[in-house]
Amino acid sequence: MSKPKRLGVSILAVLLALSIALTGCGSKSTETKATDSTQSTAKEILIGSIHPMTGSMAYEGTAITNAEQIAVEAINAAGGIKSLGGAKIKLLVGDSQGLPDKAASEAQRLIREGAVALTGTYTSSSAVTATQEAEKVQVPFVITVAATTNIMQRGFKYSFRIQPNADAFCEDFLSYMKALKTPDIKTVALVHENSLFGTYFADYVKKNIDKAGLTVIGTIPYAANTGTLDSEVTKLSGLKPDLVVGTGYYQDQSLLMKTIKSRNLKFKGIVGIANGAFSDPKLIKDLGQDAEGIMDVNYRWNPKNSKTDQVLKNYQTKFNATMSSHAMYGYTAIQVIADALERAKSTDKVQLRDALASTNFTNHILPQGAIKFDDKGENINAAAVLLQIQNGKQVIVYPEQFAQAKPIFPTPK
Amino acid sequence: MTGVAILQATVDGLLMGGVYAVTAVGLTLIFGVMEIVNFAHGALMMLGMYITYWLCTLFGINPYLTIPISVVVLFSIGFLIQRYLLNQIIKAPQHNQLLLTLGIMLFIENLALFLWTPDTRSIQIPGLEKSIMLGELAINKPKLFAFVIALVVTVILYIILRKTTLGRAIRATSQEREGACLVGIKVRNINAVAFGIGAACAGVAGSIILPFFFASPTVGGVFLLRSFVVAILGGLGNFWGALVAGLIIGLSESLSGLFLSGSWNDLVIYGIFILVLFLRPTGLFGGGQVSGSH
Repeated sequence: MSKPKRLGVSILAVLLALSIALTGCGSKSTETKATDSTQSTAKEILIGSIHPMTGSMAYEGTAITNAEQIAVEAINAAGGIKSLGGAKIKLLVGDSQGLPDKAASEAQRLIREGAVALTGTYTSSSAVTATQEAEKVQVPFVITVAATTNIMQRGFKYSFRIQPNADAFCEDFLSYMKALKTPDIKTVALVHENSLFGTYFADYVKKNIDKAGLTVIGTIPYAANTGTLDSEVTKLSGLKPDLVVGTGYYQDQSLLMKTIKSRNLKFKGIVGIANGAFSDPKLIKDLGQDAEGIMDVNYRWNPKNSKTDQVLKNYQTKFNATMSSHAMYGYTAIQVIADALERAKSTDKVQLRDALASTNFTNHILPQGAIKFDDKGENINAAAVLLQIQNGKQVIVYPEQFAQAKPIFPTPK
Repeated sequence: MTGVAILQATVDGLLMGGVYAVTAVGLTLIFGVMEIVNFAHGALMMLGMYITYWLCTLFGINPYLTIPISVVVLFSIGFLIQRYLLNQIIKAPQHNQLLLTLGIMLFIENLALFLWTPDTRSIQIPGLEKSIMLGELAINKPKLFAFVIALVVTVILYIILRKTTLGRAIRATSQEREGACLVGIKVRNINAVAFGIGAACAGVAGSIILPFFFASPTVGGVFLLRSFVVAILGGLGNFWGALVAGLIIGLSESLSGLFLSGSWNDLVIYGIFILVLFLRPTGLFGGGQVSGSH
């Protein structure tokens, strides 16, 4: 190769290597202003968001960030934070890539860039690390989505969680099943992804299944990133449980449903717990008629609240998609932080933290009473609801005060 | 375990094995000819998936009829990548070339993320959703078609490599590059063609996997590691080897999923992988050159 060509190639190789290294070091946030002050200015308050914007969970992470954006715009349009002179909120978008160490480095970066509070992270493992970073420097962190209970049991004073934690989910599942099951429903098979998320839920349900008056006859773990679930479904067809209970992410649980339906297997009920697929409207597009009847114990917006429609419509207009339940927590997290800012009348981290701790927020679209945090930072009134896919839509079927339809359970023959 | 369950797992494993084989065949060809480990293989397969997805969704074309288009497009992309990117550093140490294919993979995946969003996409073809039932045995239709097409692809590759002048040139280049150059074979073009064929195989793999799986920018990662295991197990450069190894891996995965649990699949597969390599370091049929023979 000639000298100039070799030089050109070396430069090309170095550039490529650099770009690989840089993409590995966290991404550029889409809306960041170069500020050399370490505090938000009085006119603009920065709130950080740490979710997977790239990688296999980019779909969910982007949805949550989108909803946060809508909340920010709504609050700014209504006059911003009035107790701080009408200061506007600005969202700093970070990308965790779904990785715990990236989530931590993004937390550090956003704090450096002046965020007064952080939100995140969609996966429990990322929440553990990101909240730790925030706690180190006493920056309040409001968790949008992250389920495992251990996150809030480390004695942190600056972490708050709005969604129901894993234990609350499982308790709701058990009590809803107890209330709704018919005498011919006795056995359960658990099919779960085998990381911390799925395993925790499966273990809790197995240990406490008596509360629902059922028995677990099989537990089938699998790796979330698998290309096939054939053997798992073969096991299910051998076990012949009354109920199939699934916990996992979108790709794997929808693959599970596809495989079950392709073999024409019928069960008395298919119920998810915090299932990444069953409550997602995309499942109906992917499975079509086969999605009918699938249930999920999950969080959802309150359909009986008049404000809900407005938020859903905003999201639909701006992003041309239905807002997901995860995204709802993005919206709510921003609302809660804004409310705390109003009461704190300051962006000082200790005062903001104290304001968050004494939250008593009712202007939300969740199916629960007021948002109040206990001494661990958990939302004491957090609750999941039971959803079912009926006539091509997910509707709430239990508890009755939020129900949009009656549950069809067990599956009719 | 009932007999039916074992039979079911065997059938599932063989069918999936065919799919793994077709994802590995392109890899093994590329390595056999150019000794390049192509990390972008999964990303190219993803492109094949999206081509089928868009043609199916926008124009209603049957996904299996989109295979020729997938082949042509991916062949061109592969040819261009090799001719104008990889060829520049063909004399560089192996790890440099490896790094470049890694960079290409990242580029393609993030371009897909940018163009098509992270949404997982799937297609529904009426008639393909339900399996063929032989008594209690369920044969998944898309996987059956994938298996058949995998066999067809392997046969076509065999014919190309054994019976055509191009095939002879490719084999010559893989055996002895300088010698091939001396007898007048345009090695640069052969490399590009071989890479193109490898990429086309990845494209076919994507097109036949989409009917039973999902497309997403990062879907390549689901199959990439398996493809490498299958290609190396079968002997890099030997695609009957890739076929056999694919079936072995598919069966192992399926049976371990049945008798143990899904979490053990990787353990079992890599265990077998290590064992075979320990006994036969070049893989089951390996010899280090592109070969259609056992």
